[in-house]
Amino acid sequence: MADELKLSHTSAMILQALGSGYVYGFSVMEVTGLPSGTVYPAMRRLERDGLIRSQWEKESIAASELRPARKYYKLTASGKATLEASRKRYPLLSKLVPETETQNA
Amino acid sequence: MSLLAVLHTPSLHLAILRGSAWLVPVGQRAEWLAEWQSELWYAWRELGDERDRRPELTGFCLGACRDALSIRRTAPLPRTWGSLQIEAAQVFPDLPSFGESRLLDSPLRCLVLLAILAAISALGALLRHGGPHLTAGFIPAVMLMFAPGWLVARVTTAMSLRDSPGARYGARLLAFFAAKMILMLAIAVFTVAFIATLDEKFVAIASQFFYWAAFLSTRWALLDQRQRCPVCLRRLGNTVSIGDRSKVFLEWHGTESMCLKGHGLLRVPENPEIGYHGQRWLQFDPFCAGLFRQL
Repeated sequence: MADELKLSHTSAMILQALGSGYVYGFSVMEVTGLPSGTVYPAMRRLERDGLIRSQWEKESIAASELRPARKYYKLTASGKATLEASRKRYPLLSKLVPETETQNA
Repeated sequence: MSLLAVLHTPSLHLAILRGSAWLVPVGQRAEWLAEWQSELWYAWRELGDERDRRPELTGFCLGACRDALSIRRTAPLPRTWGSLQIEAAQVFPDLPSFGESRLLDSPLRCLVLLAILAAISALGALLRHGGPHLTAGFIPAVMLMFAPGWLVARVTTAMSLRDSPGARYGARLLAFFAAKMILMLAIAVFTVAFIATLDEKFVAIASQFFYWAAFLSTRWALLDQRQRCPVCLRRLGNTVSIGDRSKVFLEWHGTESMCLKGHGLLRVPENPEIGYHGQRWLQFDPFCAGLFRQL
């Protein structure tokens, strides 16, 4: 694809983490080892470019578990295609970020 | 456990987040803060029990500052007076705009405006002429301050008339500059004379007033001259910055302004020691004027 978005290695790692089931900013930080000052701005750029989308968890669910609602991120169709292309560009990407248990199941 | 570890409290972390939130544009601030506070809650649940890892939480919160800065950098600029003027100029092209001095774009309009101001100040001074504070030697005494005012303005303004482009248009440029200076001088003299008649204490400092008036009017006239097309004497527009200060060995850097009638391009180097000395006028071929008329 000629107009395919080429991601930096850091952005590709974040996209890979989100694709592997780490859907919160803090969990992406933990699995990639990247600092918060890198992860959150990168996720905003990915969202601006339409590769991921964010959504707030339902307040009722969070309140029933006595915790604050959390914003989670998911890959869009365009994000999945870009991740596939990034895996070809960075072959070690999938080894750097392990899949979550839910993703493996 | 170090003493510093004690300082890494939830209060400090919340203060960092709330302080950083001020950088985020108002429309996104509430959601941004809610997301970071929620993430901090989960981070505290993960790391907060281990006191030695609390500095990591402070680092986590400092990342919010970077995130807020990146949002601020990419946010669209607020609607400023300048942007409103540009929009207004697109809707009403003939509307005079004071901020961008469109009123002074045309050389004729510029001279007429200065003449009107000179006439008003002369009228004000003449109406009060013969007041107790003015003597016959007042005007010549005040005029003596013109030379130092002119000299200081010439030295401190990065533009000499010799640099003015296009030798064949030199006489026209010089005549326009002289007309501006005479009118500005008249405005300054009559205004100072008027101020001096208001109160006796102003007479003593009238020459100081005139020094500053001469300095400011000369400076303005020189800067205005620099922005004029030598062919039509209209103000140049579409000024853009070219090049990069950090790449002076690779290319020149400075500003380029264009005559909106298509007569040419004025290049003003940022650093005269690199590239060429002084500003340079690039004359367009006459057919370009036809292209500009179609815009």
